[in-house]
Amino acid sequence: MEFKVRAASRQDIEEMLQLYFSFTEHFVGSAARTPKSFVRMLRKRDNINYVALDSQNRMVGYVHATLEKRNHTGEFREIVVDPKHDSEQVASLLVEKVTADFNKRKVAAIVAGSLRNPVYERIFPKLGFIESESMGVFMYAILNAQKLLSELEPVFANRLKGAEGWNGLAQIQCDEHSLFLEKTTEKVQQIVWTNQPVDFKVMLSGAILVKLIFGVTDPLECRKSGQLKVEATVGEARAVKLLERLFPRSQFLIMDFW
Amino acid sequence: MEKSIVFTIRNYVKGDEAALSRIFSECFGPTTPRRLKEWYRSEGVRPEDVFVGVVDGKLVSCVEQVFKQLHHGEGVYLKNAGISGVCTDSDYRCKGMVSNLMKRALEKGRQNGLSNASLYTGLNIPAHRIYERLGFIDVMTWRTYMKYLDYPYLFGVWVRYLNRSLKDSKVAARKLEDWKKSVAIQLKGVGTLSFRFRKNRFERLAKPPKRVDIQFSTDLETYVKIRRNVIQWEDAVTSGKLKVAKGELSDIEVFKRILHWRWDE
Repeated sequence: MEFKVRAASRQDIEEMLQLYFSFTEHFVGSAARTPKSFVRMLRKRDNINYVALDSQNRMVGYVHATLEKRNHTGEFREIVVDPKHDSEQVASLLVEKVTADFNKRKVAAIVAGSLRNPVYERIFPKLGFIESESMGVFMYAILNAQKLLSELEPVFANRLKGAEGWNGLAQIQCDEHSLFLEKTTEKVQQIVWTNQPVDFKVMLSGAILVKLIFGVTDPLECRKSGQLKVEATVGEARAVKLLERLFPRSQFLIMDFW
Repeated sequence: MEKSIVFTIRNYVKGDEAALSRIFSECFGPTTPRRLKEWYRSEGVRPEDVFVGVVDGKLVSCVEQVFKQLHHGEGVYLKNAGISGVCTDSDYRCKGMVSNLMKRALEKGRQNGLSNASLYTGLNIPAHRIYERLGFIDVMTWRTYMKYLDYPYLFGVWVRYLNRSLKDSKVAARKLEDWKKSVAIQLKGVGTLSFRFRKNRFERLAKPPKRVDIQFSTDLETYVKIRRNVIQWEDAVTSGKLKVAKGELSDIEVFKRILHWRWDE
């Protein structure tokens, strides 16, 4: 498909925001945005913002890059492409456009970080960028485990909803706190307390829960190493499937540093 | 931990910017009160979200909270206490101030009904251990991609940055007091870049002096990775990627500190 690229303007904000959410919903860790953050992004004169449009002028991607005048360095901050147009070279098109701009402005260096988009790992090495590990790390702490479990209820309920051919009571026990979810054919609902036997129980520490939420560890590996325990009345094959359904492999992505 | 001191914790008040930007400059690189205020405004940081440590009326430490909604999967965004701007005046480090400020900030987050917190930090810095003790766990490191189009220009920027950082770093100024040396770096594909340090100033040299104190050759990628602390100097020497032509061991140790701008023991 043919795409065209043009500079982003304030009229694009709504579409950019929609695109941002449809892109980031496939990742975990990304921050929620408001139109205000896009206003800020487009307002700064030294920012370089382009949008990619399809033949019907629908936005399929955008790029946001910044120019650090003091160091004369250009930085790719985000490249967002509609998941429906993945592998159609939209990102490469946007990168080429920004790189040409950077070259015009005679930057001394161009930088991009994989935490902002894992696809960078495919794009930038091909363009002759030096690849380097960063000595930075994103850290996460649970302040209130019971509250976090309750807040995560919609996440787990939605995942259990898709567990076909299984109904019953599931328990996620993190340290001394628990979340009970009862699945019936019609719905999945949170139970405050019950004396009925649990059909599927996962026991894990807060640290493992965090790593599983952010998709940086594998639930089956954790089980094998004893970091996560499962008690189930269902068969082994079903227990493995339920575990994988509750904690699917996700890709971590952060757009905003703070 | 060294001997503790008497200090108080309070929230940020208007007028703290100058003292805060001084500590920020020492910890994170040159910052001005104006830039600090701009950052607070753009991130929506309120005075009650900034905790400062005060000793004898002097502001010496800081921790901030920035609130974000993070995606936890299935379209569910949870409010998160983002910890940032953690810094302490070098004369007041290792006295438990940051731990205390962090505890107050996290407690405030808890009181405000937040279930989780997050932060970004360096892996090889003392603060990382403090965060681990407070219950933070490592989730993700990342990769950076860099393309250098004019490295000699960036070298000049770096030398200027060293002078600016030196102005703000009391520890560096003390350690470099009697260090008067020149350095020549031969980078494959870039050329020879050199600077000297004397009279408390870093000075870029157009060409290396005849009697250089430290001289080594390597490729740009290795040099950048050493600077970023991804490759250790010793490992680069052992693997043959970096060849030291000249330099006393003690001088190279100081040079490594300059490269990383790390002055704490």
